[in-house]
Amino acid sequence: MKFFSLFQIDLRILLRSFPLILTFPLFFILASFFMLPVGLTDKGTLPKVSLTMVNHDDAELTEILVNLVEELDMIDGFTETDLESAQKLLANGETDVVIEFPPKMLQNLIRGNEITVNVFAKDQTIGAIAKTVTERLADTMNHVQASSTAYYHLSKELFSTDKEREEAATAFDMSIVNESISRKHNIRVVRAASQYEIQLTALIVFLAAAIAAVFTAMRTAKEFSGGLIRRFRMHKIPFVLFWSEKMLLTVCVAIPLCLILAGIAAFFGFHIHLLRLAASSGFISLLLFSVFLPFSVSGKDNNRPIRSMFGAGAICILLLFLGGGFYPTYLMEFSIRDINPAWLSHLLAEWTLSDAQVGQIGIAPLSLFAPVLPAALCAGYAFFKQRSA
Amino acid sequence: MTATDQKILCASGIVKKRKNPLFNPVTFSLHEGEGLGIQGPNGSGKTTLLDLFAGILSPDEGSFSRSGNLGYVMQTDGFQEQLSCIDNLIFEASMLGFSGKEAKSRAKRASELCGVESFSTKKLSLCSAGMRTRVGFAAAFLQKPALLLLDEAFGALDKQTRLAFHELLQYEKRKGLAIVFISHDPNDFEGLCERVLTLPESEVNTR
Repeated sequence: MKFFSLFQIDLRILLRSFPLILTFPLFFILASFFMLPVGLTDKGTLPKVSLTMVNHDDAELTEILVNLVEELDMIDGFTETDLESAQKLLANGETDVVIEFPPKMLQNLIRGNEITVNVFAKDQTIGAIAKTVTERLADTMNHVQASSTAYYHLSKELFSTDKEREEAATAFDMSIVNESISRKHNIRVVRAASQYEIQLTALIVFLAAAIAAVFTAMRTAKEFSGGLIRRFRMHKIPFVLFWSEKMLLTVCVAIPLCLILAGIAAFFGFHIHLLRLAASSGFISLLLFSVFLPFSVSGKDNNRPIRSMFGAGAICILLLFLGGGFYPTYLMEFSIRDINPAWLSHLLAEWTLSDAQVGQIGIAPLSLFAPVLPAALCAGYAFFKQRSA
Repeated sequence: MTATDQKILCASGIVKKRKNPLFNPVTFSLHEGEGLGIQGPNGSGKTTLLDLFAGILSPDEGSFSRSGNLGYVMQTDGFQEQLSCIDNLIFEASMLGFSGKEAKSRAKRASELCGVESFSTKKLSLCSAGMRTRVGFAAAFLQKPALLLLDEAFGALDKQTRLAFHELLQYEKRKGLAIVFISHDPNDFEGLCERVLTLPESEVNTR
């Protein structure tokens, strides 16, 4: 009952403040429009990775495939070893990706069975590149299949009996005789969204969630400085109730904001899984609000809202830079990145995009978000100045 | 009606510390229909003491007990600036646990009692300090209080309104309302407070 009353009041105030909240992403929208032509001309390139191959298939043709992988332009450093050693290399950071060919891969391939090529990567970003490598590999395998089909049809003419054909096929390590082979879709490779798509979606999630969290943190700070919380304490309203109500409020700001930004992204050709995007923004906003809450509830009353705004804003930007909201994330220190909400946004963005059919868009330059840096520095300076005062 | 034996507030050696104790241990008891004035220089802990009585803060030392409903007219009122006066009162009533219709009817009655009805639909941020104080009184009278805490409640009121509230409080006091009143003006205690506690002293001085 009290929760509902609290939420009702906050929602009313929120609806009155929503036009103001919407002005925050306006800067990003305008920047996107201005930078779009630059973004479309810059196609960008995937970073190179060091690759370790584990091949359990002793067929001769598989060796050719392995050699083919080695020659791919995105491979920088190639090792072939057993699975145990490969995993050690991965754990030690001596290789970026491990690709494992299953036993009898080629045989299954040309029989039309689905095969599983395992890809181990040291993190999600590298995983996306590894998937691209695998896609190239899959293309090659499709060629192999096509050749084997051609061989099968040709063998019908070359060999008069089934027995002769069987022997010939076995000789080529391709036991495909008497099988009707569907040559399509027999290699399943999960589509990997490009770096830019993931980065931009991560920014959308993070930005919307951050605005929501800052908004709620500031409202909370105002309520503390205005004495409302004293009133709540007097009425014995538990802090947990108050806190969970604010959490709900944060989500109520984050989700619509995120969907609006996603709509803008859709304008540029993105097709995002909206439910997943909403869930992601809700989750991140809760996490961020929990981080910003201490700014709202501590310190002198008259400083709380301003400190809350500057402090939360500065942390947001810091997280963006340290955490994976910005490209290239694969260079970042894992220990910093893995505990970071911005990096979590990145992972959630990948999840958000996983079912989507995303068109190819060039990589937009980082300068799109460059103006944020001085703003963050100013905010950080103001925050520490206030603190020392 | 005079003071009865029914204890409304009883404090025994309560102390609040911020690094050092804010005031010396406070001991007193307040019965139905009694009034206690609190005075002292700025920063002496007057509001902290009221917050302790209201249950907003807990004492670091000592103990206190309170019975009956509480009304608190705060110096920093803690209302929602974006809402109208009547909406604030309805919200306050819902925080006290009253549901929709009951909350509205109580808010209406309290606003009539404290002279808020003439500006009840006005946004709180547009109200003067005096108007806000009246809303504060109305919030305190949403449910019949047994104890009323007043934190410099008359400071922003004009002479006429001050007189009206003085009369209202005297009337309620005769009906058994206990009052703890902070003020810098000793005249405010006239007719309302039989005793005055001067901080930082711990003694209760009877005038």
